[in-house]
Amino acid sequence: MTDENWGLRVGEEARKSFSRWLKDGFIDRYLSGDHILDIGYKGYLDDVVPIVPRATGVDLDYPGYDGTTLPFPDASQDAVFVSHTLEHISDYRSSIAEWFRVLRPGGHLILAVPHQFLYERNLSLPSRFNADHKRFYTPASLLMEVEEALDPCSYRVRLLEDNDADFDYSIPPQDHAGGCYEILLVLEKIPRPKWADDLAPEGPEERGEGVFTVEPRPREGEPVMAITGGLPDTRSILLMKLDHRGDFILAERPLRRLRSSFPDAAITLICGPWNTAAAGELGFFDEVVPFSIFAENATMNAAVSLTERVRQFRQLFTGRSFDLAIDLRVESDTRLLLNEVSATTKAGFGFPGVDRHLDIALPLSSPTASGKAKRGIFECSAFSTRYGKHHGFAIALPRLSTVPAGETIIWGPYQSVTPGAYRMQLLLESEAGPFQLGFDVCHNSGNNIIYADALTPETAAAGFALQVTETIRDLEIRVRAGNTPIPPLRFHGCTYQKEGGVGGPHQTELMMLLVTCIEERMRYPAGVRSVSP
Amino acid sequence: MKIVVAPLSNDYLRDWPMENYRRLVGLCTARPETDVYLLGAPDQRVVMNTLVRGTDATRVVNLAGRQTWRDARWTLLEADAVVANNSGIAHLAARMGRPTLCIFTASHDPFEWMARGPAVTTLFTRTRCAPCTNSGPNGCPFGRKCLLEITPEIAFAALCDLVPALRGEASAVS
Repeated sequence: MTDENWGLRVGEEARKSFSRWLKDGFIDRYLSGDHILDIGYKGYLDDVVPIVPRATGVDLDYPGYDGTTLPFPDASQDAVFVSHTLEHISDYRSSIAEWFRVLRPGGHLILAVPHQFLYERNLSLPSRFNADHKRFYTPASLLMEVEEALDPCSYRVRLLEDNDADFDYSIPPQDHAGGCYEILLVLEKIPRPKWADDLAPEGPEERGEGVFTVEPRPREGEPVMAITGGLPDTRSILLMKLDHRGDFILAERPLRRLRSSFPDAAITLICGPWNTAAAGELGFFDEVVPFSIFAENATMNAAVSLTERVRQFRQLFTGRSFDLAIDLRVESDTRLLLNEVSATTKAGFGFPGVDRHLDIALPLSSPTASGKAKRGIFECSAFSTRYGKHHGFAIALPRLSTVPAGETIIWGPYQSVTPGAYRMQLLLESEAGPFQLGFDVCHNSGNNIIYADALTPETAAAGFALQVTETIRDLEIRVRAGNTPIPPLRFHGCTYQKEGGVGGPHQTELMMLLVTCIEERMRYPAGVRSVSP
Repeated sequence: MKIVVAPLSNDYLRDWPMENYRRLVGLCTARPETDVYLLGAPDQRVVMNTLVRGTDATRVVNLAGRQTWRDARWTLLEADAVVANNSGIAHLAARMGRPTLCIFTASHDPFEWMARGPAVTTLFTRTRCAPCTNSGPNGCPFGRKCLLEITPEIAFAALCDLVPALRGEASAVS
């Protein structure tokens, strides 16, 4: 039977607490039942009994036990007692999981380990008193191992304590401790709740609230791609700067930057014959090839076809290939020559996915080209009405006295406009006196209103200013009825004038950006390949 | 050999499923003398425990929450290879020159955002819905197809290409 005499013969460490455990109900609470295991019960002694009389002592000599896997079925035990053993086991995770496996729900796993600041009294391994200790324990580090090993939904912590009963705090750290010096942890195995599976690490179910207009491709034929970087190996560069004298001067700093970015590469410059002297003065090109795709002075352009020029260019570099070919001209009209060059990587200003022959495409265009001033008219034919007659060139509205205020009487033109500052004028004339209308300008199917005002003969004549800050695909102008009767009207459309953009990046800055982009990309050039099985 | 795996980013849509990481870790540790160290933030530790549970504690180590960002640099420095999502660890490892396998969700364009370094492989699929720039658990109505197409076997093969010693061949990466 379980009495104090039994406790005199249990394992060395448990022996110190046995009497207390008997009195305070610890043994009744956690070590009752007919099926109890005491793992590693002998410790370093021979004449030892398991923790309670009904317990089976399991040590390395137990038949079928290999030190990790227990020769007992799942959920077969009421309690598993493991005292001062875990600290000797390297793979704590597998052992804790195995001890827990054999417990029945409602059963207890009792772990006792030496306390780092009671037994070891040392900040880090090795142990002064037992060279086989693999780890030091605090309550937190012990729980950390348990949380790694066990599903937190499968157990509850019933007891966690620093057991320092009779511990002698006067003994210095270099001497072996006296009294109890352990951490005691009791886990109760619980039936895993049904909702535990919903706590999958993958997070909540996909609920599909995103807004998409395209579905993923079907699974078939959808390769997994790998982009693999490598170390740079740029030894030969073909650099095209087919431009005017002034443009070549603007390129000087970007050219110097390119030279210093690729100090070991042989750089072949191809430029207009009028710029070869300037290239020679720079003194850092390994080869300068004169070529003119257009004349030095556009007014003196020779009558040689572009096709012929391209043919001549192709002949210049037949049989040669480069690691890198760059077109440094901002305008796009020389980019086609890159098609005629054999190069591993081709770079220039352009749009990724559009300028497909460019491996490095910097999507910046000349501010002059993109900021170009424009003027025109949204023709009347692009507008509609339901109140009058549409003549194509004009909308004629009769006198209208019963249209509710705010009702749209003319709408259109659903045109695209690019960002910029616009001056616009609605061409609306009255054939019989003044009118009191309203209008607004909107897009996104009428949902985004970007301008609204009263519309009278005076405001119509003055026009209005419109700031467009993003590309609009469906610009809509809506003329609305006011509170007064509408006289007969004629509508001819809407004129617009886009102010030219001033400012933006300088040509030198644009070229510098391209050179920087190339420098970064070529530092770790990357190839793309399919890795689907 | 020491493989460092950072299985969680700061966004659900960028996280390759933990099940895939578990399989990849299994493929790595099936090689003798190949151990896996998991890196993560303190609040990622509980989730990463689901990855280490059932594995040998001497072969798969959960360092989540046990290292600062600065400490992580030392762990990466000693790594023979690093596997991560599109996350800070991938960028750090790549910049430190460690062989890095980055598993990249298609929410963002890999060509714009991929980690750069002397030995980096970025795995991605180009689904029609990509790039979506979405994030969060509700961000994808298609079950993160762009990530699931990348199987553990594909990732392991790419890792072996990056670090041939993992396959049992002599390493081509110094």
